[in-house]
Parts: sequence; structure tokens; C-alpha cells
Amino acid sequence: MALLGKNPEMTIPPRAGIGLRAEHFDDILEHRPDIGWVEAHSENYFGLGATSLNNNGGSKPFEYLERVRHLYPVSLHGVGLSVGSTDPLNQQHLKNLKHLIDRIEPGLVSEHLSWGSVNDRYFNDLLPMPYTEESLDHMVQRINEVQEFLGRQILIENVSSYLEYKVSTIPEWEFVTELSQRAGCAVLLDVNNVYVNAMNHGFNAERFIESIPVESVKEIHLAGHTVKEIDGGVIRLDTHDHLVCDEVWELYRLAVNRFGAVPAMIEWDKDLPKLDVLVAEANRADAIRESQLPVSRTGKLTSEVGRERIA
Amino acid sequence: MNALRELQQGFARSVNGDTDEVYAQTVCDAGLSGARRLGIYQHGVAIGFRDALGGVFEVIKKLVGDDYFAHVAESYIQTHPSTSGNVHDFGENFPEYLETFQGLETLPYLPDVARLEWAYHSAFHSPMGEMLNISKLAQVPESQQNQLTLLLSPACYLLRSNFPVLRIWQVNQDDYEGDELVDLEEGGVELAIVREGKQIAFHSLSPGAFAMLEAISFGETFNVSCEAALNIDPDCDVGEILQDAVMNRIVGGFSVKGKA
Ligand SMILES: [Fe+2]
Repeated sequence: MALLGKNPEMTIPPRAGIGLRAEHFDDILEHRPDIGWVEAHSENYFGLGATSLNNNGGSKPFEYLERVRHLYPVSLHGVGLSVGSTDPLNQQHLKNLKHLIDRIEPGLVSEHLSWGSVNDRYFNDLLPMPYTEESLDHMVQRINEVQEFLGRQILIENVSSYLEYKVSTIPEWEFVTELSQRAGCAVLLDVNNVYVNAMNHGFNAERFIESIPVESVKEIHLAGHTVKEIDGGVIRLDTHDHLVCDEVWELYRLAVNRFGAVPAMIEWDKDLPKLDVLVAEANRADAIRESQLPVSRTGKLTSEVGRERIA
Repeated sequence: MNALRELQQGFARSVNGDTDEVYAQTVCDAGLSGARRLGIYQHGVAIGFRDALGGVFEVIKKLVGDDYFAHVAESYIQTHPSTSGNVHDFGENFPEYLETFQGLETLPYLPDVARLEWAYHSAFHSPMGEMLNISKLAQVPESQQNQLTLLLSPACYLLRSNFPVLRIWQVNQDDYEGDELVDLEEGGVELAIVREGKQIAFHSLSPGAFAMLEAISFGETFNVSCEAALNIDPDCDVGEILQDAVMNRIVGGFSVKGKA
């Protein structure tokens, strides 16, 4: 199988994809499931050695990603840039990301509306921002900096949270909207995170979705979460280790009606099931989208073309 | 940005485990107290790092048991916070940490087993690099040979241990079948751990070969590296060592006066 040569221009089709996980590398390459695209966590593929483009090698995961890249459109989803941190942006991390983007030429690049480090100490987690004017100004400036460095627009994803700060003055959905408009970034709407936060903090999930501008959403995430009882109360944790729940499927239906044919993907990170389970979830998302929207076959066509390149 | 920075610093203190009652007051306590809510993050962060360490140091986890591993990991996370947004960078100092950890004195081979696991992890996340071009190497004029420096492949790691750590690692792999007893007296190892395509290969090296490759890894010139080998073993064949090292992708490049 010849896999060399310049990657063709790639767009993410408006149908469902899945998260690319190391456990499924061989399975995906061998069985080539009928999914629209895959999303890779950027940091898992940072092992590119010296940042010289002459060096065409990469880590073992990177070599897999390169092969998958020739079968499916790829989106790069970062979890460690700590966009909302008050530390200076980590230039090495940015460089690694840029280098990876140059090599993979992904259809979309995304990060989170969160922070994960302060005083150079990293928590490797998606920690919630307070929703204040100061925080908004800061996020706008940081996203501008990232987009300028990368030379492209990024998508920013709303995260699940287990607390609210007393200083917050702006509802989360308004914060997301303002941020995308002022920073010129797109929104990666995680419908599961909307649901988790609505339940954890007592707001209306539908209202959240209905207040996000239609044109700003360029991708949707779907995932499973965990319901946990603590001190007699119930809290929902964004664990990515379950099937998507019915309430989130309902919200997805609403999102499709509002945002139209937008690429969606199934996130599953812990207690990974067999690839088939993820593919079935993606197919379910496709079926919902198709039932809500009369014609949307373009995605399938893009993916067929992707296949023929290899044959 | 002062308020935001203070908020993040306070959050960081809480996640580090110092219950900060004053800070907890800045978090809404609808149904669940601010402190409990911060505790969810504290727990999540700790589990994240523990699992990351456990994923890299699987054999160590097997050797000391899940509970004890969690105990060591928790202590390591406190003293060696992550400094990278890439979780795969986390754990580099874990082998040294095991050396001084109270309670592990009876398992003196653990740090070297951990070094082997870190090398395996690092090789996995490194590019293989190119195969060294022997004919190009042969073209280096004699007048420049004393400036010739060989380079290890980016995915090659050297490890010397007084313990049979490769055997320990092997018998603790999930798919291992065979004699599970390891004789700690069977002697040490001198290894090159290298990525070869999909596999990570372990090459056992002779004392001369290890000395030569170690000198190369320190940036010594080819001549000095050969001397290092001959000092350890006057009868070793440095040409053969080099050839094997190139074949096995241990040595992957060279430079003359800093020129590749
Ligand atoms: Fe998500």
C-alpha cells in the first residue's frame, strides 16, 4: 500500500465520525468501517522529534495517524494547550501542534474553553473558567494568539463542569457566543457537556443550544457520562465511558434542526468498547441527522472518494 | 487579569490537596459544598496522573500491586508536578523517585525496571529516524575522521543494570508464557531499547559495545567512543560493533564538525 505523497485538501464531511484511539488503530486500518471521519487527540501524536520538516518520521502513533489520514478525513482535537490559563501560552506546545498540523493537514483543529495549568504546573484536566468580562477578554486574546500562530481558525469546545464560581456574571451560553464572535473562532458544541452542565447547574439545556448562533457551530460532540451520588446529591461526570444517553440524543436532534448538517463525532476514552460499538453510535447519529434533514448525502460521497484513493 | 490569576492559583492549591476553606467560599454550593466540588477536581486530577503513570509503568504496578502503586503514584504526583500539557511527558523522574521511596528498599531492582519501561514508552513516542547511510560514512575523508561523531537514533535508549531487568519485564508481560521465576543473581544487562517499526526491540549488548554506544550518547567523537570500547574490552571489534549498531538502528546518523 503506497501511502506517500502530499495529502490532498481535506474537509470534514457533515456526517458522524469517531474518536481515534490507539486500541482501535489496527482494527480501523484493517476493517475500514463506514464512518465519515476521525478525530485524534493532538498531544498523542506530538512525538515528531526535531521540528524539521525534512524529517519525515514520527512516533509510532503518528505513523498510524498518517495511515488513517489516507483513509479518512482527520480533525485534531487538543486537550493540553491550557488556552484559558493566565500563564503565558506554552510556545513549545504551540510549536508541536503547528508541526503536527503541517504534517497531517487536518480538516479542523479544536481546543477547549478551559484552563489546565498555572505557575507552570499542569493538571492535565479541563478546568472551568469563571464567566466574567475579564475572563472573556482573556480568552479572546488567547484564542487570537493561537489562531495567529497556527495561521488558521480553531474551534472552541464548551466543557463539562462540576462547579460554578460566585464571581461569574455571564451565562455559559452567552460566554460561548461572545467568545466566538469576538475571537473569530468557531464553536465545537459538545451536546453531552451542555446536558451535564444543565443538570449539574440547573439551567435549561435547550435554551443553551438555541442561543448559540447557527453559523458558529462547525462541529458537534456526543459522548456518554456517569451519574454519581455524592453526599446525597447527584452529579454528572463527563467520563466518556458510556453510550450516549437518550436525553443527549434528544438534544442532538434539536441541535441538528438548528445547526443543520454539521460534522458530529462520538467520544469514548475510558473502558473502550469494540470498534463496532463506536461505529454503531456514529451510525445512530447519522440516522438522526438524516431523519431530521431531507438531503445530506454529500458527506458519504466525500468519504467514498477518500476510499478510492487507496484502492 | 489579577482576579482570574488569583482564582486559578487558588484552584491549583485546592487541587493540590490543601483544603483551602477560604477559596472554597468562592465556589457556589448549590446542593454540594464548594469544598466537595473542588474535591471532585482534586480526585479527577489525581486519578488522571495515577492512570497515566500506571499506563507507562505497568510492570512496576504489577510488581508492587495496584494499591501500593496508587500510594507511590500519589506521593510522586505531589512532589513532581507535571510541567507539560502533554500527559505522555509525565513520569520521567519516576524511576529515580522509586530509588529513595521508603518501603521499597527490599525491591532494589524496581528503579531499573522503571527505567526500562520509561525507555520503552519514550521509544514508542519517538520517530525511528533514518537508517545511517554507510557509504556516506565511508566517504568522510581521513583528514576529518577525528572530528567524526556518530549519533544515536531518536528512538534509541541505552540502559545498564545490575539486575536482570529484561527478564523481569518479560515475565510480567500479559502474553508471557513460560517460566515465571527470575533469578536475581543471574546478572545484569546492558541494553539498547529501539523502536523497529511497530515493535520495540531490546538488544543485549556486549560490554565493549555498550561502552562505545554510551560514549556516543554522551556526544563523544567516534575515535573517543572506540577507545571507550577498547578500554573495557581490548579484544572487541569496533567495526563489527558499529555495523551491528547501524543494522539495529541504534546508531542513525553522524556529523563531522557539527555538519550532518
Ligand atoms: Fe467533547
